[in-house]
Amino acid sequence: MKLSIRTEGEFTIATIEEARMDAAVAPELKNHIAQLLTDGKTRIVLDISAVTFMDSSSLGALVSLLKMVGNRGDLVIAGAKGIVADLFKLTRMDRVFRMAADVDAALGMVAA
Amino acid sequence: MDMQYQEYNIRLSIDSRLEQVRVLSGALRGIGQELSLSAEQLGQLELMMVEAVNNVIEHAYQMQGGNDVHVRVEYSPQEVHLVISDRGHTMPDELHSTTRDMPDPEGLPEGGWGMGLIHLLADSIRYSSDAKGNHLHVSKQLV
Repeated sequence: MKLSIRTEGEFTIATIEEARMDAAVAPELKNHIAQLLTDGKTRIVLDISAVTFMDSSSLGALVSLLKMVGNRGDLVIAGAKGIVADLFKLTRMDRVFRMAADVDAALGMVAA
Repeated sequence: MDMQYQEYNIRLSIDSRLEQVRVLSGALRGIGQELSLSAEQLGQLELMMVEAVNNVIEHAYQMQGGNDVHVRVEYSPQEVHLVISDRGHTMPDELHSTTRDMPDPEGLPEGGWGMGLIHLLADSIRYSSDAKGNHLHVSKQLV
């Protein structure tokens, strides 16, 4: 799974550079982000704008990460669109995650 | 070319390993693009197929590779019918017979959405088992 990491102020922006998030890569994604948390990077914006398909196993991995972040930081999901945004809505998990249209909007949200 | 009256019955299969599911997705997308399905229709079909195939690999075959997962794609201009077949453990009745409630979001579930998603996205669902294995039939109207 290709993931690029950059820092903007106190926020870590993790960008998924693949079009697909599925059960085959969900554990790897979870490990990557969990490592950021272990390294003390607890204010995370996950940019999934390049992702055109996501299954519920990947959603489960994101929920697991949300629990790891708990109340010691942020995990904002940025750029969900199409069937990926539908997955969050159909499972009603869009109520649980903080969702932003893009990274800029996400940064505005967590900085506020 | 007028495809109005064309019908297709396309058979795909993979080995029961999660890393092979992306290839199945690619095949379904290729089929959908050739048949001029909309991005929305194709996204929904792909999500239903992937959730069903993941279930087969995880539950019917209990993550054991070396088993066949078959997907039949039946297309007519009115609807797409997907049949996902396996020879593994049969799905418990309560998972396919009634509309599944989604897990409560507030409980921060990490799974259990698969069949619920298929129920929400499909126009009809039928599950059967015979000497050839288990078959999940999922239909999506196109018009």
